[in-house]
Amino acid sequence: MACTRGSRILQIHPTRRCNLRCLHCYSSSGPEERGELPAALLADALTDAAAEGYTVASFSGGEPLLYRPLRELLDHAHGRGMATTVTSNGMLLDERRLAGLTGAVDLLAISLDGTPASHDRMRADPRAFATMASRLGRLRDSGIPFGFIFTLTQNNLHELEWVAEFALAEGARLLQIHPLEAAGRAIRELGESFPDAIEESYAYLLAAHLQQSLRGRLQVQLDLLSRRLMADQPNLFFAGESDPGGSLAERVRPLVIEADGTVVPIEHGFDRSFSLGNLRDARLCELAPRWLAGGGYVRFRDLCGRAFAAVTAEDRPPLADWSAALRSAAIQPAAAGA
Amino acid sequence: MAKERGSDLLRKLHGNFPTTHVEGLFRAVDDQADLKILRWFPRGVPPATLVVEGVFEVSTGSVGKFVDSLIHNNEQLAASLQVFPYGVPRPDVAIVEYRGEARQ
Repeated sequence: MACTRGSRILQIHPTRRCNLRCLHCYSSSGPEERGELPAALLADALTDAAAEGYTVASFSGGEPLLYRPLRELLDHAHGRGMATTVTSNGMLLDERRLAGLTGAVDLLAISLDGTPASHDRMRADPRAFATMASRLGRLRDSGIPFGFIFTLTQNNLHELEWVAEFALAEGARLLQIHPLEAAGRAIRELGESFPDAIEESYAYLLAAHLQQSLRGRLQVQLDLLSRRLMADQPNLFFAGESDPGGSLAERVRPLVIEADGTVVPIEHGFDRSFSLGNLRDARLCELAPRWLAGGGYVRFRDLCGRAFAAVTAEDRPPLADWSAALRSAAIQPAAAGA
Repeated sequence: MAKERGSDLLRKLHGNFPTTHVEGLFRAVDDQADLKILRWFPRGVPPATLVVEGVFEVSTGSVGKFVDSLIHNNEQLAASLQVFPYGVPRPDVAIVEYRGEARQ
């Protein structure tokens, strides 16, 4: 299965403002959120990130289409040689916004949580699916490459084939299957819906089946890793015996800028004690060397080593979600004293 | 939200696939780098007993290891296997048909 963790991704959450309040939202975004990061601050961060070796600028949120300077930043990222992706719920893709994205986005990822009824339930909006689906024709005509992201829960694997057929029929290039994250609003709203080892194993087989049956027509990617394959490549998970050295992107990826300017490794909401700092206090080109030379990076490597040992142990399930493993290791008592 | 497992609902759509054994089947598949899954859903709805069926394509050099892995990772299941070598003039791949049935 494809490993999605190798790319040098800078993930940017310019705002937590969103037209929806999804049950599984890891950033607890919603219509009531008003704050956003200044475009100039993010442009500097993109410049610095490109210099640090990051090659993909990935915009998420909140709903990034509600962030007015989005186009300006996408162009800025392209100008620094970075590929660009935008993750959206797809409901706001009207003609004006599509025109604003054309030529600036290398991949538009649209969330799709199952059949229309399931999608609307997860999105807490009875019009979510119909509105999103009504935008797809114009999106297809725009020529912007797009894909769908399906959040795997304990209860929705049976809808994955429907999702794949829908994605294929709509002309998507990618179907990404992402396990529900125990973060943000999902902890409160979907506490019993995190997929267990059986659901993940089943998803692996079904994804493999879809990969083969849809080869050449739709790329199917599952964000779970084989424990056996992981065990052979500790350096990919920053758990090798020696520090790889080099640029920040060689040592930490993905790197995440949260909507309040905090820079954290791996994912939105990652334990703030591993933060590089806040872009409102200093530029990334200042935060990065400080973090690498100080205790933050040492503690991060220690965390990766402990998480890697935990997920690759012989008695562990055959599949691992690396982000979840790090999240889990970060809240272990040993992490606090490390 | 539905409280039933997604894999249970999938089983109802496709037949009586025993999800409790999926992890063992996965381990066998995951051990094999040059494996191609041709089919793994069951035929016949609904069987009275728990049955796992799969059809796999694997290189002839790896078929022994794969068969061994299939059996040892699914010891709760009584296995029947058929291996068909393919290739002209010399077989280079094998089609492995596996059926595992819950022991009574």
